[in-house]
Amino acid sequence: MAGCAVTNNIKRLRFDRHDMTQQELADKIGVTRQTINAIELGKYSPSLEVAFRIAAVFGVPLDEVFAFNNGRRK
Amino acid sequence: MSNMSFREKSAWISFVLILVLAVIYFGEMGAHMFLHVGHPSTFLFPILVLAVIGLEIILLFALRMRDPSDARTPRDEREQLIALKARSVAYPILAFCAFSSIATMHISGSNKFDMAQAILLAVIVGELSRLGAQIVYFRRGA
Repeated sequence: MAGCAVTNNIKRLRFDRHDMTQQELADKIGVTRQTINAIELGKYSPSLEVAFRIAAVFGVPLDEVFAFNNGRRK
Repeated sequence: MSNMSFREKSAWISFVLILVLAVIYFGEMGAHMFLHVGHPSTFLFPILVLAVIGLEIILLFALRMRDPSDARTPRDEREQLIALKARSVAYPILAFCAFSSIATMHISGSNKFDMAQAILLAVIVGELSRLGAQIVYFRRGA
């Protein structure tokens, strides 16, 4: 799913939360660190469930974590 | 911190071991069938399969010991998607190779043993395709 239209702010949100590591975030939502890395790099668009879990970990609304660039691909 | 997950590493291990098995076995069989050299042992394939299973168990155990938490992590949605996509790549290849093995019936001088070898080759090519596709999808992200 390289160059998907869904962008995200996970990296910034992790740094804002005391430099949370990818592994810490992965453990909290029940996925592998490599999956968090793939999401951050825009190589993989997560399911709604995982997207909501990520937003819940940071305590922010979903649209603050993910954005959909309609018709635009990286 | 390794760039590869436990499942990606295990896919690499399986791919390499099966490839080595295929090269040794079909190299031996090919030399016997087409070049008429050597006499392949009846036990060659079972010995190779046992060696592959033994090596795979040892290597996966070593991987698990190196990073137990990574090995314990259940397969997540991305890994499930990769497994499904890899199967959809491998299935047509397996079907094509399996149907192609029927062609051995039309080769003069061939027998049931040759057809069994062709079916075995089809199964191994299908499995290598599945593991290879998994590795490619892991590298690409999904």
